[in-house]
Amino acid sequence: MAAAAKSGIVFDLQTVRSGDAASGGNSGGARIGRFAATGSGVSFNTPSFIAQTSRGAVPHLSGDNLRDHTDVRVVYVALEDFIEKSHPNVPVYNHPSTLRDFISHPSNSLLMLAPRRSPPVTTATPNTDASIAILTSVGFRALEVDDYFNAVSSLRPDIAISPPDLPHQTPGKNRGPKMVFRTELWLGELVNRNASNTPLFAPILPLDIEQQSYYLGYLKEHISSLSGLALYDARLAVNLPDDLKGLPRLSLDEALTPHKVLQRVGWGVDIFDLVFLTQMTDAGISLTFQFPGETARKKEALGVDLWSNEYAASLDPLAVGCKCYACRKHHRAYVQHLLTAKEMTAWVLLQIHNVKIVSNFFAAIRGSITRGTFEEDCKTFAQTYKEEFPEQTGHGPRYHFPSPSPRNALLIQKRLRGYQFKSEGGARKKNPKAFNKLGGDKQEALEGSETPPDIDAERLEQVGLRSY
Amino acid sequence: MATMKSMPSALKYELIARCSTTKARASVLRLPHGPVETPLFMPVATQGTLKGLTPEQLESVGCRLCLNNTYHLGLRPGQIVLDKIGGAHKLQSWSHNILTGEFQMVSLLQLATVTEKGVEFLSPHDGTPMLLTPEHSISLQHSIGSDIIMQLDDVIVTTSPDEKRMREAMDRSIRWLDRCVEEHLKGDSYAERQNLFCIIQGGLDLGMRKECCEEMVKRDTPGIAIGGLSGGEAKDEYCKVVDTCTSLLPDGKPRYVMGVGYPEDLVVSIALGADMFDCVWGTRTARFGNAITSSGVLNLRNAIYAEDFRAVDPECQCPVCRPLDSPAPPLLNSTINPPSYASAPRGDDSYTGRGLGITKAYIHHLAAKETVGAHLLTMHNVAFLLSLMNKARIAIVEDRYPAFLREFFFKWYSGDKGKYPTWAVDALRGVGVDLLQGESEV
Repeated sequence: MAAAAKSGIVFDLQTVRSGDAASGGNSGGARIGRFAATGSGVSFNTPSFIAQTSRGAVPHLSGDNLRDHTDVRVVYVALEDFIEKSHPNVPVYNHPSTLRDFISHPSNSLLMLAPRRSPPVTTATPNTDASIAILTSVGFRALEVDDYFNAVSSLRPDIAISPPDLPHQTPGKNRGPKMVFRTELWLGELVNRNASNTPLFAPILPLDIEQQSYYLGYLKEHISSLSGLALYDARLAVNLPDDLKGLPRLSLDEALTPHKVLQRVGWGVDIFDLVFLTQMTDAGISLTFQFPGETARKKEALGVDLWSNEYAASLDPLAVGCKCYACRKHHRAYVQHLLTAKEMTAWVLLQIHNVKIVSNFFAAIRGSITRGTFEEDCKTFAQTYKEEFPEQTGHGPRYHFPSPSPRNALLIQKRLRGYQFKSEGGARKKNPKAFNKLGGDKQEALEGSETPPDIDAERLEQVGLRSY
Repeated sequence: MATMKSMPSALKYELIARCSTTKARASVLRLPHGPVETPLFMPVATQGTLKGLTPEQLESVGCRLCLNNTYHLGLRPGQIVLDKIGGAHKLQSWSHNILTGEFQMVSLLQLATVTEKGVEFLSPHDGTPMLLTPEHSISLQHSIGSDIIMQLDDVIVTTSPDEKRMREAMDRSIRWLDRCVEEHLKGDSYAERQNLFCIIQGGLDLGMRKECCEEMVKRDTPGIAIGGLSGGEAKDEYCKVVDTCTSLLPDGKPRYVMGVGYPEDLVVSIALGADMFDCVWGTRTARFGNAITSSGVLNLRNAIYAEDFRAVDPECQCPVCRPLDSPAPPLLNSTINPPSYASAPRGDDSYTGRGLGITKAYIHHLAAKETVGAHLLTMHNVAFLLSLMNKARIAIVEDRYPAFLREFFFKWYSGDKGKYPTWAVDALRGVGVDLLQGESEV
């Protein structure tokens, strides 16, 4: 299949398994492709995944660990992580060279730039015709789309996603067309102003395909200016027009489990944003699944909660048979110790490991599609593994809770990482203080026994006040 | 008083060179898990990890001896788990040397009571009362399996005005040393695998320090630590204590000054005859965004670094400061063992130690917001301190340590001699170096 791309990205679609029961559409079916960036020489096979970054760094991984110990080939960088200051004082804009140099990104993976993180934090104000509402480390503000276009030209990422107009809630009758209108307008601008010839991914909005049919027509006309599609609703992959088939499809909706990933592979998604990757790492859960797995009598867990005391003296690797650095050199007992000691290295090792599990997962998916056994293997996987990841029992990297007692379960559930969370008026401190006065424990215990203020009302009605 | 059994040693101290002016010495210290070179800075991996770094990142900057804390490992993962796993080397997959630091009872004193039996305190985890005796401390360190183990001592703040309590602490530390020695020599030939260091106490009272040195030297431990310092005493008092002690200590044994880690303190203490140092400052300050560089400590959270696109320290050879993907330089010291990742099969996803090309601006961007910023600065700061020790060592071997001192202070204070601290000038004058005189500046 011919590649439809220019300036730097070549995508070769090698195999398409159509007729997949789940797809039903003309464009669905699991696909094998090869994604190559001609300039940097980075290439990889699809289906594959991208790693999210926070302020330019894959959480927990310094550049040496990312470069030497992972197979990450694309990282997703949000411009909102870099633009706290007003325009002339933005350090990344004033860097003599590119975004890649500013964050000193390893040369063996590509940088994909987008205006906002994925998933983005809901903002208080809506987008306008000329701006997107964003969240920086110092608060909410508007990013002029013009500034984003300039950033694409000056920062020279390997790939840039054209800004989508995404509302906070399900769009109503008028909002939908407006989303399409703005998204097309902005893409048109970006195509025209793309002085640096940065490969562009066009957003596909989370609307019915009919609602954006004119926009899709526009994409067909400008296909030579596009290097890929960014799907904000992966289901649309099955209904995309044939003319857009040759473009790689990145899915940015939340594939929360490996089962959902498999479903989306079946729909014809090529590249995945895996939100669960860092989520599981933060939760102290070591991923253990393989594709397709071997069906046993009892369904296996997708991961192991290394907070559990059970592993305190376990010299087993994080996942049996895994060849990642963390599994070759370390063991569960060490990670368990580091987690309970709240040492940062715990999450470093977990992230290295979890990335490897995910890389292997995609490699096995590709093998399966090539062999023509993908559908069958998906069934095996569904029979082998539980539907959901294990419950998180410990807290994330920056959270300290007095005890993992059931009383605190709701607080623990609300774990949030970094500054990128929505603050609410009157909310309790996210991190209870670690150091308390000697003999102050009694008072603490009294205070602690109150109903947590952020328990939601529905839950309260169900369980009643007394169980707290 | 102990029966003075002869004390086996699991180390070899080879004196390589001595400064002809100051008391500085350079040596190779051969330990059970490979040789290290002194003067030596030992980074502190309190709970079995150096904050956020993998063991190989620590190796990549030349560290071959790091600290663990007996007290912390004793509480978590605990002796039972340590025994099951087979010690701290195995717990953290560290193939080089470990020294198990003291219990830092100074900082915990408010929570602890010291009696002749041992130290009583409440467990910080579950509040149960615990008693730590010299015997238990040694037994724990046997389980940990560290290459250098420290005696349990009675530490009180050096600035304490209570002379009687100070003497009691010193006398008790000697008695506890005897109990530690006895426990250490029991059973399974631990003394042939682990080196017990005594800890000289006596506060700032030079007479008491002398007495303690004499008594403890008699016990013939493989190495000697000078303890209780670095707790807020005046720097000139600190220098006097170190100077007094090193003069009384035997030539053929390593001398470890506990809790010292500011670059100025390190280079002065070396001139006063000390060999080994440890401190959490370098790694802790990294987590606050502070970079140690040859021109002083820079707080990279300061806005002036937001657009400073130069390396954290352009003179530094650590992976953080070297240009992106530049090959790893040769080992920091010629005698140390190669890093564990060097023997990994190629093509494997093994650590390369290649450069990262990190700028001050990027650290500024990350500092206090993403832990990766802390990892990078921690690695740099450890690398800086190890490399400083290595440069000092080379200067001693080439017998130009006084010039090294002058050059160091000149750079550290950006050539402003008016800023040189009086204590350092005085202490170095005492060993024949006048920082303010010489013209041999950079």
